[in-house]
Amino acid sequence: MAEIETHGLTKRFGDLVAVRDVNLHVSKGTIFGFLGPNGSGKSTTVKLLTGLLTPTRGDALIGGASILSSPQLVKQRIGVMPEDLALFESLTIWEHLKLCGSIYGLRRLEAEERGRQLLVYLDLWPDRHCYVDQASFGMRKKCSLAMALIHNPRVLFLDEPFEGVDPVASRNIKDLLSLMCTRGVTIFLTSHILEVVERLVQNYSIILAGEIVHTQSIEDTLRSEQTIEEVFFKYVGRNKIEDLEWIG
Amino acid sequence: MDRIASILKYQWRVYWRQFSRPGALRATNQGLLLILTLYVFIRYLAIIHSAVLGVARGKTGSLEGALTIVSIGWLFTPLVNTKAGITMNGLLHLPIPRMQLFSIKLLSLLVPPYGWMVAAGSLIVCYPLSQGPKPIIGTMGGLLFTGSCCLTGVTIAQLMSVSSWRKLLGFLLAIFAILSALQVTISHVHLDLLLTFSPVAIAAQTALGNGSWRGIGLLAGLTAVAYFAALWSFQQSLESSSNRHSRKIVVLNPFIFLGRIGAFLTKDLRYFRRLLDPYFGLLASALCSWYLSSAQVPSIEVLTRFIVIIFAPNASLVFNCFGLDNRSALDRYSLLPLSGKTIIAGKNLAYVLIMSVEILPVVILGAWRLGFWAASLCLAEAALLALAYMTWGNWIAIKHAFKMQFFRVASGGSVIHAIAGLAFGSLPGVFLISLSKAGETLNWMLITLVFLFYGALYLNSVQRGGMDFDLRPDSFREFINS
Repeated sequence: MAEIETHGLTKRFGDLVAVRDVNLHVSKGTIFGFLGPNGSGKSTTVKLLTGLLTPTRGDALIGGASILSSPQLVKQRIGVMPEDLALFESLTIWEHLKLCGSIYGLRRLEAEERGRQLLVYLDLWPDRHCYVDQASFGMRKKCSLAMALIHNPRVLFLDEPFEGVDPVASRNIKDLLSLMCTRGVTIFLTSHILEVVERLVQNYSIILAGEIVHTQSIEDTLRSEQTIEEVFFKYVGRNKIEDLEWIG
Repeated sequence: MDRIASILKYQWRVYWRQFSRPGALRATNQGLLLILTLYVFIRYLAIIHSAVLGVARGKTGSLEGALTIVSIGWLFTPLVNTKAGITMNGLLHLPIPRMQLFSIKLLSLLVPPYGWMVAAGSLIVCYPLSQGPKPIIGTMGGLLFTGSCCLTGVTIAQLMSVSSWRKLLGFLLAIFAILSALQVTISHVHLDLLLTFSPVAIAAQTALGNGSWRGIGLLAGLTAVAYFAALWSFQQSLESSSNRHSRKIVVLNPFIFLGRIGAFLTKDLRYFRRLLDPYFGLLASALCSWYLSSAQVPSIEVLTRFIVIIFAPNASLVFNCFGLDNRSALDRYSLLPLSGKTIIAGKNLAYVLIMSVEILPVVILGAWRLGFWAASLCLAEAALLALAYMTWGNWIAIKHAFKMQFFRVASGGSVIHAIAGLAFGSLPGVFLISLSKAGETLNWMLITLVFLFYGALYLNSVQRGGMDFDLRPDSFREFINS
């Protein structure tokens, strides 16, 4: 059964079609990688799936609930670490977690205990009283991840979760995602670090100029004796370096 | 010089580019703003004309008025939030010496048109100063006065961005206000005597040639001190912005506000008190408290007028309640399972808490000096004003949001909406002022009916504002980002 399902999802900004007719099926309890170069429409798709943007056309179902007709239900079910991390200036890391706990209906003590465990695991506990606008990028990212997890969501959306995070935290996040996956949580992530994606996800899609150009399982990719990187460059291509003769 | 010119060119471009967007001129009512500015400028010219005549007769009242306007202008120019596309932090990693950065900071004041107006006003004020017995000394006095005001304004604006200095400035201001009040109340020293030693009075006296070289010396010394203070505060502000990872100072404990929106309340209160506007309301509240405690026979009419005045500077907290949230925060609002109505109601609650802090001392003092019925009238007036302001704010906060900055005075947005909102918000106050003339034979039935009317309008505004927030998040975010 598909936990994330989209039907002709389209987003238009004036004349620009950022996402065109995206159809996705992500099974429950799997990790799905959404890949593409900068400006290809990855983050816009995540924003559409999480209710940050309203689709121009099409719909998406998260756990059977439509993002158009039941947005509050969808938001209650999902956890999101968006591209811009969605943090409040002048609140501390700890206050962010307590804020999320109360809004998702957790009792105060429960929210504090979960928050403490998450921050300890993410090596953020000593810095919990730091204002997020004074924290490093990696710390802010871990704070946003902890906020996405504190209410134990059914579906988790992570936009570039490994970018700017130290190796220990990166490893911890990978272990955490694998554990969540085995416990039935569906994870939708975007990443530019293709090696990590290859080791973590079960299925992936490549989006280019707003359209999905390739969808495959990792098993099938490896069976065809290719890596994700090779498949990625087959669609995306690279520019030549020879023109930059003046450098160096 | 090329570097400075180049950076200023791009500052200029960034500032004016915001108006090149379709509808931007109409949205911010630049035409009306121009008319208002011209009106103020014409009024200012009238004061200058009167100052010229006054100087000829050996009187400096109007001249001091004009100089005060210039000093306020220079105080507010660096404090109002400008759309600074190229920030000093952004330039720090480039090979530009600090002195050049400081020059860029000073010259950037002249990028927005109100900077030109203040500069023009400062030059014009030199005309009456040059009409006295010693024209050159008078003109020098005017220029030195302008320089010191500009540099003082820059210093204050820069120190406002440093946490420890912000607190110290607030403390010093409070001490100064209390000492002035005590001096005037207890010692019966007339305020004019204190103002004799102000830079405004010293500059005005140079026009009359009274102790002119001493005056010039004092103004030159003041300008030199202001220059070094501005340079030093510039260093402080740059270092402060580079100093990350500072620890939280617990001022407001989030445990006070429980429930789903408790943490939002904490956040909004922290945000609101970082805007300078509410402090003008607090100042009005302090003045009203002073009046109530020191006047021999306080008047209920004055009190009800003061309450209207206290609400006015706080308008931006409710007319543009999302103006201090950045894009990231707005994304979080959209991600959380909260309805727009809940978010709007939470913002309103934060506004009510801020207003309660400003109004309650006045009501308590009113009850002490004027009796229970007067306090009841004040409470009714404050509640009606809050309902009216929140109603207007909820109608426009989503559709006409504009960006505000911490530790700056809110500026920007639509002038028409602000004026109309102030008029709409103050209407119940005007109504109660007229009722207060009736004394204790107040028509409470009529007041109840007005309450019901504004209550219904408010509930409708929460509904509509909530729907706007739920339905228009895309355009709303674009507004905030613009």
